[in-house]
Amino acid sequence: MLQVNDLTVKYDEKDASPVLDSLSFTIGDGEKVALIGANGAGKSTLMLSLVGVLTPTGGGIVLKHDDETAPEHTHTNSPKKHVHDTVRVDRDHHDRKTIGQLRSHIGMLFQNPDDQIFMPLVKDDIAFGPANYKEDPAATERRMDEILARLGISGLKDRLSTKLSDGEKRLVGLAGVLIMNPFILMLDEPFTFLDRRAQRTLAEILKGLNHTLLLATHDFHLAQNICGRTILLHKGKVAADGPSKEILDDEDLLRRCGL
Amino acid sequence: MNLYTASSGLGKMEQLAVGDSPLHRLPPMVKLITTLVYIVAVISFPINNVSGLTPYIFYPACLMPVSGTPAKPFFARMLVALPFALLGGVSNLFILRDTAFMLGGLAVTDGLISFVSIMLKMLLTVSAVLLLAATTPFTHICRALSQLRLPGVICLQLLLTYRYIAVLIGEMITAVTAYRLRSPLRRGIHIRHIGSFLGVLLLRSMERADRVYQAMLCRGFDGTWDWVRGRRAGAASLAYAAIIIALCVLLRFFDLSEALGNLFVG
Repeated sequence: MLQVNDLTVKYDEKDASPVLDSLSFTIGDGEKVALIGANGAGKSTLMLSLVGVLTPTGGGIVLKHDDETAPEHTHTNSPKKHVHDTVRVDRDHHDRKTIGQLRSHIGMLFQNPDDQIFMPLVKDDIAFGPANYKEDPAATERRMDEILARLGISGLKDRLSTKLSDGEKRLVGLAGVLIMNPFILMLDEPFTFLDRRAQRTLAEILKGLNHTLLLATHDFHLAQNICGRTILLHKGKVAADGPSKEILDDEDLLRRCGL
Repeated sequence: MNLYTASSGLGKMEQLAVGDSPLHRLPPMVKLITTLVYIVAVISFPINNVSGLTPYIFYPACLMPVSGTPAKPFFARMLVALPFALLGGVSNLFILRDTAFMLGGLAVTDGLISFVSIMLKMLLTVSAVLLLAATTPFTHICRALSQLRLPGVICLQLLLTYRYIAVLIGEMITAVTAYRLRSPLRRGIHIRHIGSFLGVLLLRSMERADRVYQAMLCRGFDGTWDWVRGRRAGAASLAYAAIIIALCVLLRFFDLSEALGNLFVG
């Protein structure tokens, strides 16, 4: 479970208006939530705060995971030793160890796959995360094969990352996140750059994942298709939080929030 | 060479590096060490010794066909180093004017010999580096450097720099195309706009670097990376290394060209 309590983020302490202004919400285990909002509403900032890249100016995040059925994490030196961790991150708890724990629980897929994939070979890029946690290379290889097969991209393993199509890059980026075995998966506008077919493929994959999902998108149709719940951000605040159909069909609300 | 050919050229070398041949299959460490030994042997020759250098052609002549490296892109990349070698060699033509020997009534000067020597050294050393790049992915070269105790942070910088040459070229192509489309009557970028053009390119690259770094942090990167992995060298790889190193050392101290000349001419 992810609890966001009065989360406030300013890029500069002197700024009068924060980018995120006292946000509060909770996401349960296995829940799939769409995050929508106009450009500049704070979607990407919220995601970067949830993975500890940005430090909260006020409030904080609590991450709990109590699922008895969840698999034990395989990283031998991972800060995520067991699945019952509680991680608290706020202004005073933003040290390296806490952030390391947070990042081992939450995986993030960036908007532009070229920002995410930086190793020349696909297999090296996917293995980058586990290598940072000193995971056994043989175990990484096994899990990589499983994940690539699940995503239907086993043939890309030995390919050059620079020679992939945008859709393939997106799936390779997703594989690089999934191999970290995160409890929560955050995706920042994953359908950008993709044609309709690749969008449908990715949507089907996301629907089939058991992970808790936070999906920032401008595609309301796909948001509704994948996520049962939607959080609408407006000027750094939660403008609405509820069932996707209810929020995405409320044209007045969307218009008021610049959508 | 324009930006598009530079971009596709980089891709071609990467494509060659993930090929499959006996040379590709050798451990990167073995290829790196043999390349280094070869380069050191070549550049250690005195500037007036052309005959001693000539047998070193065995290296590219044998390994290019073995690795399946196509000649055209290989020699095209070699042309990049040509102006630098020419610049160094041509000046010697004018500085070293003493006659070394006469050849069919023509005076061969020390400058001409040193010019040929410099060009030959460029040809041999650049071909050795290109062969390494064409048969070994850059990640593996960095890993081998790390195994040779080069600090991990330097290896990582090398890898990131290499990877983001392509990204920077991509950003430049986008910016240049946008500029050209809005100034169709101009050839190239007007001198008045160069400053702001480079400034924007710098800012875009910095923003990009920031996003890349954030993405790395999200995957557990903490500024260090465990590079020391890789295959152990088998008997065949060790035999290859031993043969190449032995040949390099032997040819350094034994002038094969001169010996063959003496044998046939007397």
